Amino acid sequence: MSVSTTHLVKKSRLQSVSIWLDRDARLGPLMIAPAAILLIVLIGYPFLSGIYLGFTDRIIARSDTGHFIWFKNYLDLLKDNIFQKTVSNTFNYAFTAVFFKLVLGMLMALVLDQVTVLKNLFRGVLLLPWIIPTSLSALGWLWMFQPQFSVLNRLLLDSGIIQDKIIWLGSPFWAMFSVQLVNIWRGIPFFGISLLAGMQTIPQDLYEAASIDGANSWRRFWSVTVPLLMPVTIVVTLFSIVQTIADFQVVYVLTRGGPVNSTHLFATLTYQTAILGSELGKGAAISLFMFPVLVLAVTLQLRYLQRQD
Amino acid sequence: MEPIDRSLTKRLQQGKLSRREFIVAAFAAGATMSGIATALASCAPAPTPAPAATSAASSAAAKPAFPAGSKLAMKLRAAFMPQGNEVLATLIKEWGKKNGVEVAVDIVSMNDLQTIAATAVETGAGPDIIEINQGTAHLYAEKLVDVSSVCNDLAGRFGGYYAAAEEACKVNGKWMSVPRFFAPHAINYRTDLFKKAGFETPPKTYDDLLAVGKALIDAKLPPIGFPVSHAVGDGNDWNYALLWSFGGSDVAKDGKTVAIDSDQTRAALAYMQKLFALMPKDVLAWDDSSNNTAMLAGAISATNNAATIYGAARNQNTQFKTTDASGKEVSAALHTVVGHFPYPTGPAGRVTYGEFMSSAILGYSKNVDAAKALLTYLNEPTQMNPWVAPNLSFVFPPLKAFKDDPLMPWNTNLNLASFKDYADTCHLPGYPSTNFSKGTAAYAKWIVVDMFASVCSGTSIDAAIAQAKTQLTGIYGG
Repeated sequence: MSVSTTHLVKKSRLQSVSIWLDRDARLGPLMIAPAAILLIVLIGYPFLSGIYLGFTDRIIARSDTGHFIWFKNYLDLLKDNIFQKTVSNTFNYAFTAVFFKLVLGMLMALVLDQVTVLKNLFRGVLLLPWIIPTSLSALGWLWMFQPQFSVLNRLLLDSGIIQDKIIWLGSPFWAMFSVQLVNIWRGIPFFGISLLAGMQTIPQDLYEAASIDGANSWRRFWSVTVPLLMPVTIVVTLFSIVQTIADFQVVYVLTRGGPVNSTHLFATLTYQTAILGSELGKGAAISLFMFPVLVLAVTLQLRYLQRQD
Repeated sequence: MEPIDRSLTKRLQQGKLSRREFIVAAFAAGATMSGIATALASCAPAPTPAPAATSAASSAAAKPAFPAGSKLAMKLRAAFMPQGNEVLATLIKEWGKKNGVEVAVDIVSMNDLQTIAATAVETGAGPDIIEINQGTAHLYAEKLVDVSSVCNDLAGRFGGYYAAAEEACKVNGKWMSVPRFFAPHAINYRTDLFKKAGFETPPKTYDDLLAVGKALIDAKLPPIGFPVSHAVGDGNDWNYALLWSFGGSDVAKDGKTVAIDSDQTRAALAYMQKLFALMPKDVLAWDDSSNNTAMLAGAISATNNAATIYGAARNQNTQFKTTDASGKEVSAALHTVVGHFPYPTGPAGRVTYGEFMSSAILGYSKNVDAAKALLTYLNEPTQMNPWVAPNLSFVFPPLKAFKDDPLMPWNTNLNLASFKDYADTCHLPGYPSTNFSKGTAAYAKWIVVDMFASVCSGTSIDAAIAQAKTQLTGIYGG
């Protein structure tokens, strides 16, 4: 008797819960809650406190600092020529690298699309640069850039391409070239595999129809592949711009922003200013300078995705 | 890995040898730390240390002085020679056992230490003791424990501290961090190649160094190479010493006036341009290990460094190719031709940069007394000597009494004699003022090193000084 009563009570409770939940306005937020809580705790809070810090003169371990100074950090930074240099470095780094990642990634996708023998092996191997932890692969590159004994200069000298050793990380031009090279090397597979996935959703009969109409392979690429691949390309490119502008590891391992600040990016300058130099407020301001650009990129990306839907 | 000499162990067991003498002797014979630790453990109870080494603090620490279950977490800088780290870990473990304190020791790289320290003081959580570099004690003073009692006790017993140690750790008259060690620098050079270039005795002045550099190039021998780059230790060391020895400095004695725009700075920069013309161009990209690698590989003839190139060559028995008397090509042990000489003197004499570490106790620590006792213990000769010996000259104690201690590497190994007077001429960024807090801030931004690097990569001397001046004004004036 008592057992069945509890059973009944339980059942009715369960029912009432399910009735309560049977409305989108209630169930929806509940389902989103875990992700939202994680985002608020792990991203939202640090982000907001970062914005606040950027408006203060906070210095590590100094209780006489932390005053609200409005936009002073930002105005000071605009006048600071190392910061100006960092801005141009970051855009040079990001746009050059993303351009080459896109072009070479597209090539990789086109080639992989044709490969039928050992398909998975090739795909797996070509993904490696993207899978290996960046700090680890950057260390490998650091050794290869060693100008006196290492493989890059040896190869170039022996094959007669260069006459003098290139001091890869020692001059502003080559240092920027080197960090870009590593970023491109690492980023190509991401483009390649994403674009390949996009290519494989293009219906084969469109290519057949184009062939019957007399289109050669170049024309088929340009008039069928490119337009149909555009949504994937735009999303991947914008995503990569965000990632590349915020890059830290490659530069930190290879040059630490040197020589003479010629490879500092927002993130490495932030680290040097806030952690090594103790100026938390100013460091936060540096890292937030890139925020508008990133917001723009993300907005474009989201708007494009919505239009696709 | 040779087993420890039986007779040594026996003498230790009979109490004829103090533990300190045993460890030093066993190391000299090539034993590993784990071997030594096993031998020491087998000889319990420990014989009393030599009377000279007994101190009030260490005898007080003989009975557990701390509540059971006390814990300490400590982050230390990895010394270059791995044996040194092992000794340290063993010594700390021994102390913990004796005093009933559970000590978690973490030996990490210099770069990690800086990040950990910044995070610890900012968040109020982390290790109890952390090793900090240079004048960091000035930056974090507010969050550190006043350790004047420890420092005054040690200074009183062991001859006082060197000026640079005081510059680094004494904030407004209080010791805020316990001086731990200098990473002493000298010029490491290839005695054979210098001879070939016509120099029997090492250069004394910066101009002499230039002459050697030129002679090496003319004789088609490997050039000299000094880092003009963001190498935390070696880069700062070389460039600050050059600036100071030419009489230049970033700040005036008052600690407020930016003094970088001077004839002395111009002379130092002009000298650097001449020196750079004689060096491999990648010195602009060197990190702290690049000059070691280059010298071990025979690619350069001299660089500034601790004695770690000699140490690594000896440890690994690195070979190099040379010719014997009859002109036949033979290989020989590299460490036999790696010598050392003190930094050159400039127009203002010899003023060097102290690459320096100290041990700070964080303000949030719950076991400050235990932390203080441990730091006292570690800096006493009984513990200092077995740690310094295997480190060759990578570590140089900041207490003056150690300089003449017969067990110190520069007194036992002729090749390391140049390190003996190292600490006499050292200073910290901020010198010649006492504004070491701002000096450390300028150091953290690489202002001096970047100034030298930019005149090497084509910027004019005036433009480089102007750039440094703007940055320094932001620091010292702000």
